[in-house]
Amino acid sequence: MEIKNLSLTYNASTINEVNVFNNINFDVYRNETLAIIGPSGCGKSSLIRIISGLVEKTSGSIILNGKDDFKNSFFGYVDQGSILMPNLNVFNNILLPFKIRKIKFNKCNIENILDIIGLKEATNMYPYQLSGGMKQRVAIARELVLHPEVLLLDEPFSDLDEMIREKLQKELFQIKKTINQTILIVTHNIEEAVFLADRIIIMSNKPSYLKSIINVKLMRSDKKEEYDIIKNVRKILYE
Amino acid sequence: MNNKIIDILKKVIASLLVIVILISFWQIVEDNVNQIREENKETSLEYFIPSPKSIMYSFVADFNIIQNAILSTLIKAIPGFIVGVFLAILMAILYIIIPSFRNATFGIAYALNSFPLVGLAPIIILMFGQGSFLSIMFVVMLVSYFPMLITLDGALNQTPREYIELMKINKATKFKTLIYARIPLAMPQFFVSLRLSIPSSIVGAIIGEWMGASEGIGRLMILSVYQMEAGRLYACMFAVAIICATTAILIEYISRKVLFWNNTK
Repeated sequence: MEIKNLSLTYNASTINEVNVFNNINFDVYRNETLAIIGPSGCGKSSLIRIISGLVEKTSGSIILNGKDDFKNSFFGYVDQGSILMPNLNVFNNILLPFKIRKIKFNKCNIENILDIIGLKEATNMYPYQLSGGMKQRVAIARELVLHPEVLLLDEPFSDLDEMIREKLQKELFQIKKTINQTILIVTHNIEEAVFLADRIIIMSNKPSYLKSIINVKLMRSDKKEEYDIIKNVRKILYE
Repeated sequence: MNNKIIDILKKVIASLLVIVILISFWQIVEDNVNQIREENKETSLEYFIPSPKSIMYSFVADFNIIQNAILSTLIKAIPGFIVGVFLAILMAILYIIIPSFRNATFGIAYALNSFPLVGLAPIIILMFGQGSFLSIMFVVMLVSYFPMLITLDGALNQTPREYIELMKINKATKFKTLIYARIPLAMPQFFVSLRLSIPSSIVGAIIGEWMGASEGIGRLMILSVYQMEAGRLYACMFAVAIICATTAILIEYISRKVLFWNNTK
């Protein structure tokens, strides 16, 4: 996926005009995990919401597999709210995209995903019976089961406590290795970004621009310590 | 016995205790006031405000008359209530699917709702005849339709943004968003409105019967006033209260069963 000259301005040409970001350019490679970090209000979430189709871009283009029209492609999107339909059990929540899109589903696929995220026992449970961490796992599973082109995660673990967050980060890491999923994750947590991502995009303050792209995978293969990578990212972010 | 049953029993006993205390207080005050009035050779208060004992006596003595009157009212009120609720649901759904239709008619609905029911009486009598089945049914329909429409319209339009976005991500149409997100999330408010509409529709039916029905609980109440049968008048009100409370409990029970997933505690 290529992001080309993407800009976002709210209330353009009015007195309340807010220029969020300008001319953002980057590529997302197949099966990689790309993290976006930056200061609060720099437009990280807006960027991911534009890709998901929830927010209209002001200018620029998003090209997926060489085409800028990807109406039939599917992007999975999960934010920190772990939005599940309260009237449906775990299985039917995961089934929901299939029903809406009228796609035939394979029960084994759903059971397989539930197994991967460790929720096989909770198949018949309702959201009110689940913990925050379990809800977030179901929300991620619901998106993964449709094999999205890109899984977009908008600070998915920020509402969870430290212990659960670490557990889910490890689980996401395992999922990514197991099913080779392209993931674009927005986070304000540098450690999380370094742990999960192959590359990290660092954005500046508003009106933001792309400050730097750090290749974590390359740094790891150069035997660089995790601590040094975090130090490096922090330096660029705050300079 | 599990904790749930103990909790329910506690609530029932507490409510009964309050009722018994209030009724006893009423009886004692009434007895004392009547004694003083008798000594002063004044008319007994029983003619205007009957004591709980007289009300219970009338309730037992006139049970068959009250029962028939209630049944006659319910036969007219229930279809009116069902039609009113059904139309409100239909209209609220149309408002979501065709917003321009909502913009064009919602103001009119509000304006109609602000007409006092008693003011509409002559129009309804002209349309359907004095005290006829249709006129009572129409009054009940009006009384249940508007509050239900306004509640449902609000509930269907207040679906949290995150759920609408979940539908948008999955490329759901307006209709599918309505089926999979708006309606399920509006159900708790629908049941609250349903519970509140029942007493008001029975009141609507009674007002409808006051316009000149030949039978029904409203008619019996008016007759009781003219015949100075205060005990029977209060007994009628007691019977209406029992019907309303029973229906509200039934709706509450159904809503708990249907909305078991709405665990907000």
